[in-house]
Amino acid sequence: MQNKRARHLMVMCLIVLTLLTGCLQSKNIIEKLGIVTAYGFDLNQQQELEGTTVLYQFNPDITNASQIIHSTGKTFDMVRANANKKSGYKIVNGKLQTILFGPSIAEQGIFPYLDTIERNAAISDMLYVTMSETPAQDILSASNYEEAPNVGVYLNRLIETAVQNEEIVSSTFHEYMRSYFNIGREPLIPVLSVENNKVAVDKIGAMQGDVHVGSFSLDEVFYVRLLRDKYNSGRIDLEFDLEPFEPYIQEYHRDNRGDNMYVVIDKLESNTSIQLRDPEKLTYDVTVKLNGRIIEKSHRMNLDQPEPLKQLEKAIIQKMENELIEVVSKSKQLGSDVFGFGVKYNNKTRGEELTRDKWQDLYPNIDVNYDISIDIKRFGIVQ
Amino acid sequence: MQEKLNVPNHQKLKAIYLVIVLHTMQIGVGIAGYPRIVFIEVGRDSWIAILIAAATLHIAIACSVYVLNSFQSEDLHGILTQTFGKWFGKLFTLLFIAYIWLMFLSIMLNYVEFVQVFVFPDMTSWFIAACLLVLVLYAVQGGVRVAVGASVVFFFGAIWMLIILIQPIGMIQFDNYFPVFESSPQELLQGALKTSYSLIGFELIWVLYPFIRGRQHVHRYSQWAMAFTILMMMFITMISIGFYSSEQLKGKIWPLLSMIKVVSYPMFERFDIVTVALWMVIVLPNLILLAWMSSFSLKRIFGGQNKYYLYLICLIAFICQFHFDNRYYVNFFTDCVGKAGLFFGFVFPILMVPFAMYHRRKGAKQHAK
Amino acid sequence: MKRRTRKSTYFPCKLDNLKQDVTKQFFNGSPDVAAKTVNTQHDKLLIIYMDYLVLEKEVQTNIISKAQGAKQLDYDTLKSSIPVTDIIELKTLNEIGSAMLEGYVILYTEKSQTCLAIPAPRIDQRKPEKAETESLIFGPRISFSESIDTNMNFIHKRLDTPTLAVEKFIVGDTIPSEVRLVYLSDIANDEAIQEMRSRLNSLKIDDAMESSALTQFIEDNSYSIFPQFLVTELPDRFCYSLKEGRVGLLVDKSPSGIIAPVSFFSFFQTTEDVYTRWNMGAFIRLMRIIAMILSITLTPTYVAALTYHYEIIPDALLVSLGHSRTRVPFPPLLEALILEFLIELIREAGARLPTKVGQTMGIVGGIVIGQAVVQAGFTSNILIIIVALSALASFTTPSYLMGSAIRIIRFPLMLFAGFWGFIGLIFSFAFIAIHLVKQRSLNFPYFVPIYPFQPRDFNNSFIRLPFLWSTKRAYSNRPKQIRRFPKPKR
Repeated sequence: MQNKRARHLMVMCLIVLTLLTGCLQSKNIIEKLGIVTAYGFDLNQQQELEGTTVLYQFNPDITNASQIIHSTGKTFDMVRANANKKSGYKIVNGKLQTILFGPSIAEQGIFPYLDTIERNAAISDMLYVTMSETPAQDILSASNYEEAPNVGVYLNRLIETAVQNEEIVSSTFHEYMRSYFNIGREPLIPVLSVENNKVAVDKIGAMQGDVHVGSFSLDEVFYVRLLRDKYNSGRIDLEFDLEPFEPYIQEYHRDNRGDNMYVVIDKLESNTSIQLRDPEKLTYDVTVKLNGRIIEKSHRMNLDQPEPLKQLEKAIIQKMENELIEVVSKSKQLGSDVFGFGVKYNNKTRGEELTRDKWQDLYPNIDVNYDISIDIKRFGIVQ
Repeated sequence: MQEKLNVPNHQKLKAIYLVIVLHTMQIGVGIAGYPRIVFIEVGRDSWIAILIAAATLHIAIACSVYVLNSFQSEDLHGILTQTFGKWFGKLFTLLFIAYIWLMFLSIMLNYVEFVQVFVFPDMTSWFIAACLLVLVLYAVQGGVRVAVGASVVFFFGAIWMLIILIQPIGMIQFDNYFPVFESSPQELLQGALKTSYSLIGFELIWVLYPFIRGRQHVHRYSQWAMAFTILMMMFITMISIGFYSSEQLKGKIWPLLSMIKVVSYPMFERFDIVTVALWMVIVLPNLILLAWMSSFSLKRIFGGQNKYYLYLICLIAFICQFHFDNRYYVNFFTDCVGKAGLFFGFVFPILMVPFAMYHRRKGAKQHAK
Repeated sequence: MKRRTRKSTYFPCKLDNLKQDVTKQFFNGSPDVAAKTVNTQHDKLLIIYMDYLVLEKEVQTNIISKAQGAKQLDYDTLKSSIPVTDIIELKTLNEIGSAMLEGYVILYTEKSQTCLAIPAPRIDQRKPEKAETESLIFGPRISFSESIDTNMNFIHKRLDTPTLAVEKFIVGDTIPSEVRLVYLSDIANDEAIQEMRSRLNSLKIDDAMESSALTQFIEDNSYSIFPQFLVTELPDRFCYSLKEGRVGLLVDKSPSGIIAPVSFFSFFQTTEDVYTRWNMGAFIRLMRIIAMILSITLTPTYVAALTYHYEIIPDALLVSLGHSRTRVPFPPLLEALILEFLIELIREAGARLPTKVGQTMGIVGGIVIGQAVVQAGFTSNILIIIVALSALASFTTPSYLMGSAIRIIRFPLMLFAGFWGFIGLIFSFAFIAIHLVKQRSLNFPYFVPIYPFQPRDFNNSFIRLPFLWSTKRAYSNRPKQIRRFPKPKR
């Protein structure tokens, strides 16, 4: 019995040893890698990709770790391969965090360049798809990127913070592709810009498939997000005419301000439902339920009493409805249904699947009714 | 007539292991690609297709257990030789073994493909296959107890991975589930058929049955195992449908693994790499139990020692792996196994029921005499 | 051959002849054979014994003086006048020789048909001390000593019950030593007892040496790196295991006891877990198992991640890892192997050196070398943390043998991780898992309660429940009485 076991063990050891010598992997040892954190792409006159590759460069004496390589190529991977010709490191995409398209590509369509990201399992699905209105290489050469090791990581942090604060709509690669393939809910991607050598999120680009057709400002994005997503802890600045509140406002000594009242609401929770009431006439009912607290208000009034509070809520609702109408009409003009009205249409109508062309024709004709309610729960420690 | 199979008591296993063992046999490489396959056929009504498949599955397993119970402590070979005579019985068992071995090969090739696609594109196929085969040899050499034991341990080593699906669950869009009830009955049946391809593996019970202590529980526990599998497939399919938009899902070859690409933890930023490596633990129980099944059945047919058949099986699989090393063959094999599984898993038990009834009546008559 | 006497009965003989024959034929003319011819009132009496093996004082006061003072010099009178029990009469030279080796003093009067053998053995032994390798914070700290009498004394004192059964075996052909099989007859499983008996009976070795050496002869699979029998130096732990329904072995001349059957997880338990409060006990037990897992995964994961899977390294770590790695001239595998080897070196040196120097070694090795190695750019500082952490974790294992096993299997794991990344790592984990499932301890499953799956035993293996809830012994030992005490009504 023991003898047999010994023989088995020997056979095992032999097998393992042969394997040990027989097959060794090609290695990816980190200090020999140029780990890319961001790519920026522009098109040049010859319709060739002009790539900007941001990668980690490890050096124990310098705290930041950044190298930028410019290269050209017809395809995404050719850009990488050409960049590798200019670097002693093996350039790898495994930790790609941000991909940035310049205006020249965003106007023609970004989808062809995204294929390798989806196909190559090594690349994360959580990278952010972004675009800019100035060439991508200008954005990536901005030299102020706070404490981040390089601009690619900074961009990732910048967008992630904005997403977590619910200021913009998340546009990870997976989410972008999901919207791209989902007829009737177009993708939104952040538009970056450089100011004082520092990159910031400027606007949110509305896409028609993979083509950039227009942008929403960050103020408008609140309303886009309100319809498209839900808030758990959002914030909004509102501006009202002072007039309807005149009776409630307490006058103070030497009070001297303009005609407008400003209110900031945060910890905003929202719940939106979009219902297609009539598939023939394309009429939608949008119900928005909000609640939140006031953290800043330019004029004092006693919100402990029901009337001023009612008045305030009414004004907010009115304001929001107007903004929503405006945002939706803008999106109709752009021909980009970023809210997901088309998905609701598709879900309600049986039979054939909705096509992008068909919804493109129908979308401008939709009619939306709004039903907004807001509940101001708290207003801080003063009245 | 072959001598009766006599399993010594210390080799027998508790019936409750059936829940784990049958379940792990069903869940293997198939589950990673399954949501797409059923979605292509049935779209958002996949859950109906799964329910239809589930009903047939429960019937099939009930039939299997009925047949096994009526022959009492016999395995597949014993039953077939008793009903069809020596030669036909052996021939049919051989066919069954061929099918099991094909399943073995297809699972192995599938895992090789996973590793090459997700982790090491340049790792040679024979090496990955050899890794798997070494482990299979090592486990099956220990006999049925170790084969089942290893499966149980690996089951616990893999089941916790369901937890990491929490992140994808958080990204589900509920609009993706609508509209429902759009598929035609043909489509639903087609989807159920495709589902049943992924449900095969429970044929293990035909060989494992004599090794189980407490026969009265076999039926209950094997039904539990089936229900558990169905539940898990339903769960994963529903997450996949919600997580992807429909066109996207149709494009992903392994929706489950692609889904895990979004999972990231502070210490493990990319969980998919760990998952694919860990998938070995999901695949191994299949391979170990299949290898045990076929080597044991071969021994029952030809006599001799278990381990020589085991070496033979692994050797042939290893050689074959050199010839069938691309996506086309992998698909071809998987399809073949699925179709054969439809017969061996679902049709065969139902066909056997009349014979079992006859056997029971004969037994009762003899008893009366 | 010299040891054989030709005649079956040697006596009667001359006094001088006896002395010569014993010295020459049995002891190869050893200088240690002491022989005295004592003149008593009546006759001459020869006294032979081995120096060093008998108590000189005893010989003087109890034997010589009493014999001299005896009224008559026949054996019956001598037996009654010498105040020692167990006096035996011997007939052949062979018997005399072996009796002398066991510390008997031989008395002979001329013309007698037999000789008297009086036991006066001198056993030098150390006093029972505090346990060294299995040190405790809580609970009895005494450890076994090298004498089986003392050890049995501990057991009898600790387990004051009539059901304590002891069986005696002699193991070793050239150098026989006494082995005691100890169990509680109303609790221990009969199969286990029977198996242990048959293993001891069929054992054909020259020398049992020590209990941990004996373990390797009677274990189920001596090729495995994992010990299958628990070797402990704590009588307390020994008795606790007996009470759980296990079977114990005590070997003469060895300061540790053997316990079987045990499961893999028994090696991560101490009696301390039971003595502390249940929540602490449960936490510490669980922590040890987590420490074990960490200890074998951390370094291989580092090697795999840095060699192949840079994707999984979090951003924040990537930069500092990358920075410190740029100065290291070796690939991660070699780096880790060097550092792990260094740690083993420090540990071994500390163990070999006297305690005080050993501590200094630890400090010198740990801090000075560690610091210097990083500054010289031999390893990255994150690896230092990882290696130190996993070494630390491996030392939480209460059993020294298991702790060493865990430290050693790290090396092949590192190699696999360094060659094939996570695939190699998972391969080796799967291999270890199958290996553990395959092992048996005294024919009982080793990997219980995971396989055979025994959720009821989680209580005694991974965690510890309050006593009100754990009224039963572990199922996996299959004791005769599963219940320890009736469930309290509260």
